[in-house]
Amino acid sequence: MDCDFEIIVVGGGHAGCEAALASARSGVKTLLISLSASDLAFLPCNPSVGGLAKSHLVFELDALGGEIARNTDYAGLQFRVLNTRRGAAVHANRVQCDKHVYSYRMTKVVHQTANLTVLEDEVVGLVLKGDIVAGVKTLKKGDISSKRVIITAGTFLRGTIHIGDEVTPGGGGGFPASNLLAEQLEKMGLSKERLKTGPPPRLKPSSVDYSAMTRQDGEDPAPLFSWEAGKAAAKGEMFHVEHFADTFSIKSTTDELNSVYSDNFLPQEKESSVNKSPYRGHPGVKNTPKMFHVEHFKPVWLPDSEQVPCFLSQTTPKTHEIVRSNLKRSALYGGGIIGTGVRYCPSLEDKVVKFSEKEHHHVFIEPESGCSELNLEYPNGLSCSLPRDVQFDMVHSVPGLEKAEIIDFGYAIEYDFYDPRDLFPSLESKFIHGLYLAGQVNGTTGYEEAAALGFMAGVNAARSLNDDPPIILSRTDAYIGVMIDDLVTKGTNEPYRMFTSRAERRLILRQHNSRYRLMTFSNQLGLVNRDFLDETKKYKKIIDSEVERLNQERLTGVPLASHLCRVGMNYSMLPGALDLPQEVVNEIEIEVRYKGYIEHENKLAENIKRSESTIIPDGIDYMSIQTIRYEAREKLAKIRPQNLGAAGRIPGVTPADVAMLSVAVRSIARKKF
Amino acid sequence: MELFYDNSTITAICTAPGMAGISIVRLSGADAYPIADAFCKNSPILPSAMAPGTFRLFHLRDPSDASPIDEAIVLAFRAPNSYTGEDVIEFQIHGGRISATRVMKGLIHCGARPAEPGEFSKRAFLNGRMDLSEAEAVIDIISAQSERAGRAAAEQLEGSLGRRVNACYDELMTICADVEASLDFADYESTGILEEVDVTARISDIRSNLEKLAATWREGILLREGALVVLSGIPNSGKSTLFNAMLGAFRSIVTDIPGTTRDSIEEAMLLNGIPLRITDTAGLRDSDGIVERIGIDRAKKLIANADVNLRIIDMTAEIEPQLSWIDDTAADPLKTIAVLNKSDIAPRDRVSTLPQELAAKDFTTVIVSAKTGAGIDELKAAMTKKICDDLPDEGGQDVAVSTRHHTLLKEGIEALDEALELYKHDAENAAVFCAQSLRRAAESIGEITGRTYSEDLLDIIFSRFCIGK
Repeated sequence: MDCDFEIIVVGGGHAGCEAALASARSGVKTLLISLSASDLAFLPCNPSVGGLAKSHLVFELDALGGEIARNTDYAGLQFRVLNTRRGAAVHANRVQCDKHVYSYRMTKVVHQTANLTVLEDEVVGLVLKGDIVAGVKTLKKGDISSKRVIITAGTFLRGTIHIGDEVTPGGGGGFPASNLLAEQLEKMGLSKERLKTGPPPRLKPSSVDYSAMTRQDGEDPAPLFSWEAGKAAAKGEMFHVEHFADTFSIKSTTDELNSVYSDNFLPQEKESSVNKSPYRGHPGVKNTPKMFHVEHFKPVWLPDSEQVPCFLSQTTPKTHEIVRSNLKRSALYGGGIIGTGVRYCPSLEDKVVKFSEKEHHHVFIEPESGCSELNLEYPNGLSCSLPRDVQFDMVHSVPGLEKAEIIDFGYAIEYDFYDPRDLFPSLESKFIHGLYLAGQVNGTTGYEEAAALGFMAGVNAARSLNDDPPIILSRTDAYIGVMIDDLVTKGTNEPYRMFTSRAERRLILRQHNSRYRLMTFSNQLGLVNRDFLDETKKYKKIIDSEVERLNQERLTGVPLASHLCRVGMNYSMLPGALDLPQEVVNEIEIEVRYKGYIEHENKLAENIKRSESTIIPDGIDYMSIQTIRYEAREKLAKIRPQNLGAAGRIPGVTPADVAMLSVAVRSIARKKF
Repeated sequence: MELFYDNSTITAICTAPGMAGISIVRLSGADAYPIADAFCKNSPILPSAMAPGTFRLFHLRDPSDASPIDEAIVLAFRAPNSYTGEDVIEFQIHGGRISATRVMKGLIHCGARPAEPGEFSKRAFLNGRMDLSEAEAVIDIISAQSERAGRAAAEQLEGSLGRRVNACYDELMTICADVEASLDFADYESTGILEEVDVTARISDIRSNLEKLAATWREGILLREGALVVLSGIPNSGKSTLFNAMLGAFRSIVTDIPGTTRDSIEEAMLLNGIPLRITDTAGLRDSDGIVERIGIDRAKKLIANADVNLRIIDMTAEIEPQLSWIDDTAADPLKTIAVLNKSDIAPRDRVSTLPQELAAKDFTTVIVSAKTGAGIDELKAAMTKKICDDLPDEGGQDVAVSTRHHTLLKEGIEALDEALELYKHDAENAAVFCAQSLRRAAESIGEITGRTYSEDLLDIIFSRFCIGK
């Protein structure tokens, strides 16, 4: 079959970019279709990446060959590590990004990647041959054929924006909703639900009185996500866009700033649309540079310079009174919205209603850009679907925001998502062969969750072209594995956000051991820098052998490992300690100090692995297994788990049901031979 | 959840429920021999030293306190030549469920876990020890059994016990939510929403509640201490004679454990595999004055705590005052057996009419002659019935369920101990490890009530804290 492209990715958000990059970097001819080719990886909510469990996803993607970690590091304004007092397993990085820089860099990377074409168009439907996907129908270019399609449409499928009783169809960012595609997907039998999310109003920084607020600073040196940014920072090199292999490579330091502007260094543009800078049309920005560099605009934050602070204020009883007396006018409580919102990110209406006894709720004032010309403040905590006049009064009742100028009003957006239980763990649809879904269309919330799903969909769609088995990370391998397993076996009835408490084996899934625990997969996928992989292998060997040595060698009759467990001891104080980078030393110390716990976790992980090693045959007819309770049979038939472990995690399926299933599976295997 | 597909070592009572001559406890799995060795550590020869396919007599003792359990024929099988195809050890002991349950508990104490319904057969099938037609029969059995087990669990969980387990679970989940929230919502560290709370006091509270719950298992008390049988009766009603008759008829336990402090008038013996503590209130009544009053109080206490009250009634004396004792001492008639003694010398008509006169009463009546031994077997049967009626319903599955609950409670307590220990020694990193221990505790307790940690946790966090920006 001759196709225009092998894989088409529909949607240029965080899932779409990772999917397209993973696919193209796997050597597959890929097309990314977005409503705007120049505003990829847009950050419609708070431009912050990381935080608990989400940080783990970002580290895992960096280890596997995703882009989000690098992009965040290169676009960061404020860097912090959370939970430092709590032990390594729950340490998490959080970065406040420059939303313009973030989007611009990702756009640049996507456009520069070999095998990857970007098309600005709207997808209005899928081309199907029976139950096999054969391409997409676009508004402008007509039908484009492909072997696989990955839908990463975010909030655009039947997106509806609510501000009070104003209801506008749209997917956010001023773009229209994709209703035609949504209608077709529904007709194809994908079961659909509505979800809701939404950002707060955006404020003009000069109108905010920061003196009334508590200041929150970043950490120095900046804790980074990506291996590459870390290497560059360690060498004292300027922070710059430097992407390996197929993209540009510009060595520069602050002193060489001028050379950056030299056209000689610029890569050839592939698409004219890229020339549209995200800074276009903004007052004060005259020279639109062709090449992205964080230092293009001044004043802008540079690494090793002062980071941009966030501020903390709070709502007042007056704020709550304003919200309460206008509840009927809010879309959420006035009946306009039916979708389920994110519990982690409740709207102000929800907070006031559900926690009526609280006199204050926190409001984090977070910058959206390091460029003072472009910056807007994001009052995190004030998201709502109230009418404009009420938002106006509400914002002004917050200390420090009395005179705040609202540039954009907050809104709530409702959108379709498809029951992720209709997907295989590869993220391929169970109904339409060759169709993959990733990101918010699967019912998740968050850039990191979307990026992880997009990456896995891209990888697996590309592998399926050669009939390679999909890469399925297990719950014991990675947070990505926990998330996908949760989604495809349990589904979700609210926007799914990653939490560390969702991972049973939290102690072995640490952010800093991501590269070691995912080493085999990184190797298999071949999407990471060779040096990174070599270094990972080398360090892994050292960590293992040092942990072994510390357990064997004795000092005054006591194993070195026991000495290391004493308060105040560290690795370098032990005899025979090697001169190792701190991150390697940290791993050794953690492995030794938490040996007991880690062994316990490993044992449990083994149990899970074992139960997952019994594969349930594809065509099994659950309804015919009379010995399983009817309710459980129905659930199994709907979700069609791929192994006994997954079957046992389906809500409503008891261990007894799984025992019966295991006998049935064995019977089938025996009958065959 | 991981229980269905592992080779961990499992144990269960394999004989049919009810009183039979022999009970069999089977142990099967990868660690069957190490576990059996640990269980039989007081024996001169260990099961692992036995040749495969042989049997041997063992005097089993409880591994925790070395108290005697029973004599047993131990059969040793080696994989793959066994029923399940794994290493298997079978303990054949005297009939009755108490000894069997003690053996099972001992094995669990040494590292085995209670088998799921039909699990031995399932393993036999998975290891190729059965053909398909047999396997299909097994499926039916498992199906029927798991339904019965499920029903039994549901029945046990209705009422006050269920409420108490649920209350513990709810409070435990609140603590989990607090600890988990402090980990997962670290952005709020500086905001004071999540206060640094000392959860150790709350963990200790739950722990003691779980201990109390574990102790409510009648069976647990019976097994640990034996069923308390209290003898009472007017002077010269024949208490001592009956006492001796019972000693002769029942197998007496010779306690050779140093330091066991048993009341001088208490005697331990075994009735159909049930350990008994028989005590006599007589000696306390002989003195007058202060000692007499203390004696009466003591007797009342004993009678209130008794699993069986044996009221010896002298059929040659006036009956009515002897019966009013039940009201005087507030003895529970359902736990009382009126032992109508001296059938050999009492007037014939009295012996034949008295049981009918008493038929309307709530207590059981048995006619004996302590002197000749007549009726002692009937008395034994009546006592067995009284004790077993009080246990969770007879039946193989119910045994597994109740043992399972007890095991789960103990697992929960152990995990809480771990959490407490962590807080004591490793304050800096305690929260993350403590969260894991608490999670294990909650998973164990949740398994009793059929609730799932991961699904409950976030609900509780979000209803408890206004988290979210």
